[in-house]
Amino acid sequence: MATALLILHGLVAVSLLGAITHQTLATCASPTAKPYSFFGRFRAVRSAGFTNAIVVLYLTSWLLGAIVYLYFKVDVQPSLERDHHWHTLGFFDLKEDFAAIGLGVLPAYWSCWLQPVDGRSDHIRTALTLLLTFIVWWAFLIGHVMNNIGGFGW
Amino acid sequence: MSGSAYRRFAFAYGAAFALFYAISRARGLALFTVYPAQGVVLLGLNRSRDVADPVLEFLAPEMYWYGWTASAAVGALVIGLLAALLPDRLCRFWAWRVGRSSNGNDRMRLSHNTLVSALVESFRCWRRTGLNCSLVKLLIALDATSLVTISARYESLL
Repeated sequence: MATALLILHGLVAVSLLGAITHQTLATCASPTAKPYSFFGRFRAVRSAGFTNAIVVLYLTSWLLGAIVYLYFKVDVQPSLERDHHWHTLGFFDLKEDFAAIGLGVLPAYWSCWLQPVDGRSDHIRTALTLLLTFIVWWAFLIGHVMNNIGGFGW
Repeated sequence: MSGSAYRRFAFAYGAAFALFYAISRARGLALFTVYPAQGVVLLGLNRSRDVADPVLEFLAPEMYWYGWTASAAVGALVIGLLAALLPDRLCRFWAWRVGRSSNGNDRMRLSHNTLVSALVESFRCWRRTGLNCSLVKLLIALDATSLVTISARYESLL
């Protein structure tokens, strides 16, 4: 059960990572990018269309992560502590903090993307999207390291 | 809830959530404690070693993260609802008080400077104290708070 949930959590996280990275690059790419260049193609996408998917995927990923965390605490964490993986556990602590803060930011992020863009709300939208992107990337990478920690040899 | 009230709720909720989460972590204010090995949930913050031998901490690991998140969510919900219920003119008055001595561009510059200095301070603290430091976590949470608060200031000016 735990393995199935972990795989599902990973798949949802990959989808979320793809969606939010695409939206962020589309938002941050220069308006002067050539239409057929790499960034030009990113800009051509209607980035607001990702918003609902990102919110749903974030909530799903968070919920699955919260369930898998119960198994982690009982079955995995004691052996990591025994083997003195303190840095990895510290990074994982930050992951749980960031994920919780991202949950709090989510309504503001959603609200920003619902509203049509003008000069000032564009800054807010970009800032919140970047914050959420950082959280998602951090959570993904640390989760991946934690999942493969035996193979990393840390 | 109207669009304007929802926006006020969303930004107040975001700012208050990060702040309450940081306070919950720093002060240990968990709404409940989960014991996953036993499948038990107890109200408030409980430590295994408080009630029996310290060795029980290994047999019954406790989890506070759910409780911290729930505490922050409840506190932020109250603040968010209060912000949503405030009349529009009060919000505009607050925004005017916050930035009364400067025009819009100065205010934006000041806000960005605040965020940048908070991030620099977090980085310094990170370098100085190592990774698993509660102060670093607190500062990072405060960075997120300042970001959302700054955004809320912009929002109330729209």
